[in-house]
Amino acid sequence: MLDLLVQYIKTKLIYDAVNLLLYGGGLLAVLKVSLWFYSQRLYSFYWVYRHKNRFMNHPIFEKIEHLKNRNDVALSVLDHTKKVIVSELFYIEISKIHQVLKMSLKHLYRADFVSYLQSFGEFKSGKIARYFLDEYMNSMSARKRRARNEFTRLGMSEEHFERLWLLYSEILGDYGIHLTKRFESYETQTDVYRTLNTILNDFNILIEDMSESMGGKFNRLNGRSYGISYRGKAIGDHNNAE
Amino acid sequence: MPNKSNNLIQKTKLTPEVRYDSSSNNIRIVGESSPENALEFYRPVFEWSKRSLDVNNFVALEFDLRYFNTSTAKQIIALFDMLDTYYRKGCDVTVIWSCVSGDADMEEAGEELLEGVYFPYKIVR
Repeated sequence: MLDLLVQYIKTKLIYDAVNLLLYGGGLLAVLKVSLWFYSQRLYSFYWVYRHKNRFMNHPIFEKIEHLKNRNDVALSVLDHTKKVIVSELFYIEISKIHQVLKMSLKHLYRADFVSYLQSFGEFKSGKIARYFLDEYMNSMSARKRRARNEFTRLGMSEEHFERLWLLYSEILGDYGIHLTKRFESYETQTDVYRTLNTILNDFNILIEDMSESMGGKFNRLNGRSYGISYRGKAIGDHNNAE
Repeated sequence: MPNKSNNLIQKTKLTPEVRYDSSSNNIRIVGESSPENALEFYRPVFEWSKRSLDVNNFVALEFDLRYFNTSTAKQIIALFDMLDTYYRKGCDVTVIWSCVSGDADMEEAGEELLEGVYFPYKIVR
């Protein structure tokens, strides 16, 4: 008897729930919510394309050019060689960020509008944020190659360069962890337009942070021990020290 | 996966067209390059380059890319390293890096990739 009563209540509850969903406006509400989410994504998709120039000419690119031309990092040390090393690494870093951002934006916008439309399935904040982050992180080997070319040209030995790069990788790791944490938070963001803006702003903050703090992070670096020639002098020999 | 016939890899949304002309030992890579597996995608380019260099001591590569991702850059660097090894052995190597409609970013990217190589190259603006 009790079983029958439980069965009746269950059936009645399910019946009422379905009834409410179908005829009580529930279905309409579900449809409205789905449409709202979908239209937001569509609108964002259109808005990102419409403001292509705005992203391709984001202030970060101007800032990078400015920093490249200044060719200096905030580093008040008497060790000029150290300053040369850190400035060079910073220059390579911001050049790479510039390249990564431009290439990632080109990837996002594709070759033409039709290709862009076809990429709608990938148009998600999390996916885009991951693409930018992966591209930045994976550019390490290219940065290392460029740095090796530059420093060996300046007279640094391979052994010294490897030691310098080990230290530099640790420093970059600090910045990378911070950036990864921020980018992971975009996973649930529905407005891609806003996410894209934030991604570029994050890189803007990153280079600003680097320009201010990178020098300080190199406290373990003693320029004279890296065999770099500075202003024609062979640094490493204490008699030639600045 | 891109459609690959004998000496041609068809262009896809994320990969460039790669055409190998075995009679002139010319390899042409045109389009956008951000394949999911760049190592696998560029394997034929390595093979074709090696074949031309081993058999005819000559290869000419032409890049006409609109953009490429970092994993593509790694493969291009590895390819240039291989070409350099052959060039130092006495083979003839030519690389042409074309920048569509004066794209400064691609020009800079090309300069960076080609920096420090021994074989002759040309950046076409």
